[in-house]
Amino acid sequence: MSRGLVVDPRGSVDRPTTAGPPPAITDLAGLRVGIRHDGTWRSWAWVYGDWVARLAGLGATTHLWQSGGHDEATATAQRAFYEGSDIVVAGLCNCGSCTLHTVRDAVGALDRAIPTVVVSTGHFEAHARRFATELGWDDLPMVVLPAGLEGRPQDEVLAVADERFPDVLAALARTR
Amino acid sequence: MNTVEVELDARAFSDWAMREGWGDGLPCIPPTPELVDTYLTATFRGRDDVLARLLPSGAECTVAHVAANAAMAGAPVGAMPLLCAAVEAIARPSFNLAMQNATTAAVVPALIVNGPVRLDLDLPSGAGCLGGATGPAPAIGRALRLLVRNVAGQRVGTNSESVYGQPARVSGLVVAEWEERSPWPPLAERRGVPGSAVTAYGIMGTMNIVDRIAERADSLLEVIGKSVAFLGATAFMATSTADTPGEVAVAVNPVWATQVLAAQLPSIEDVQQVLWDHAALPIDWFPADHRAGVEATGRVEADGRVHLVASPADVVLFVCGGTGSLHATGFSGYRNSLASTVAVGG
Repeated sequence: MSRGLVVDPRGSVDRPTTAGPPPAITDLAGLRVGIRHDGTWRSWAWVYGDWVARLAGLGATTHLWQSGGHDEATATAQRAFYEGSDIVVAGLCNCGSCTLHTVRDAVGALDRAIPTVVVSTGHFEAHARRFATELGWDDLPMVVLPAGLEGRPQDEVLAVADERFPDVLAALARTR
Repeated sequence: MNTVEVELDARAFSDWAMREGWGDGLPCIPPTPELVDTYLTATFRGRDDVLARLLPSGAECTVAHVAANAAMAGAPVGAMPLLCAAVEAIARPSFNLAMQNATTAAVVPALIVNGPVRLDLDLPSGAGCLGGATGPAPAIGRALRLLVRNVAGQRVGTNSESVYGQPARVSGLVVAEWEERSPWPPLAERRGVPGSAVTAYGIMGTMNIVDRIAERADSLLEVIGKSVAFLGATAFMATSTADTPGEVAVAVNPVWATQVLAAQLPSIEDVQQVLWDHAALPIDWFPADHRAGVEATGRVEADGRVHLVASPADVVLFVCGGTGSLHATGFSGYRNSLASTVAVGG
């Protein structure tokens, strides 16, 4: 058999320069927490609704941003979200495409050195970590909720939210 | 682009390409520099011209990437302009390639080709045009699929969570409109791009729709409309404020198009209107625990129906298929994704 050269058909990506790792956060008093959602998951709305109250109890303020759309207005709103957030909590990774967009939005915050936590359900954790690694963040701060959360009744979902809130604080307190 | 030294024997190279993640499971032709250069002669574009950044990887897709993947797939050299245009079409933000590649769904871009290029390339528009007709369509479709794999980064277990996938995620789906047998202007021309053009449309699969009577346009469109409006269509899943239903595409055979639809309805807009009207479900067909989500989006009409897509303009109609008639094909679309039409230049 003869040997010879072939052209590599694969593309390559130059990763943008980031602002460096975000600081660890142990005191949320006075900080602005931006919560990212895409309007898709009822269970995520229940979870972050629960966390909004808990964050307020720690002295933080919260605001929501709904991701989606491809126009300049969306990009402007996204920039405003980042600029108005000292911390970002991004969810919910609960399907293939929503995982991609959640991680991309979260990495947009991390690249600005904003302490960020991604929230995923069980099955999609690996998917989220693969995307994040491709985007240059191989130790994505993440809180993992149980798989199959969407079909559960509200009281069960709120119990999960209560149980996992300390994980959010732990992820923020961890330095990269 | 880098080069790698390998065994050039077809079987050895195919095995190697699969191990390295370049291949898709089918045999691959070694994309030697000489062969890739041959493909590059078929376009006026420069080797390093960037056509688009393809998501989710965000990698730049150059003309040379198109040439290398087209060579591996065995696509005709003359397909380079079509493939370059197809890359531009799927990269448009409104097409939402990132979502299509990452999703748990089975969606894949299909290419509908209009104008002289479909004749130049001998693309199928008659019997067996969606699969089975002898010709270059599967190799051209596969070339785009390899590009999505090798440049956009869509691989099962890496960037794709598709629960099932579908055969067109390997071969693609490339079909020409049978313009000579259509009573209406070509699809691309209706979308503002006359002449040679490609329309990319994200399909969840192909759905055969049969009607053995098909005498009256209204009843035929009722059969087609009610067939494509099934409860599990992703357009009906657009039940959050972030989602849009997208579009639904239907391939109509030339006999139905000319002898039934155009013979009884004045324009294609009338055909779209009637089909759209039938492509709806009563809200009480939705399971009880789904209704609140649908109602919250304001999609329930005064008569209690929910239309599959937002307006008649979101029904993408084109003519192709054999003259044996009896069948249409529906293509369930992908929510939040719109068809994209680009001129095929050089």
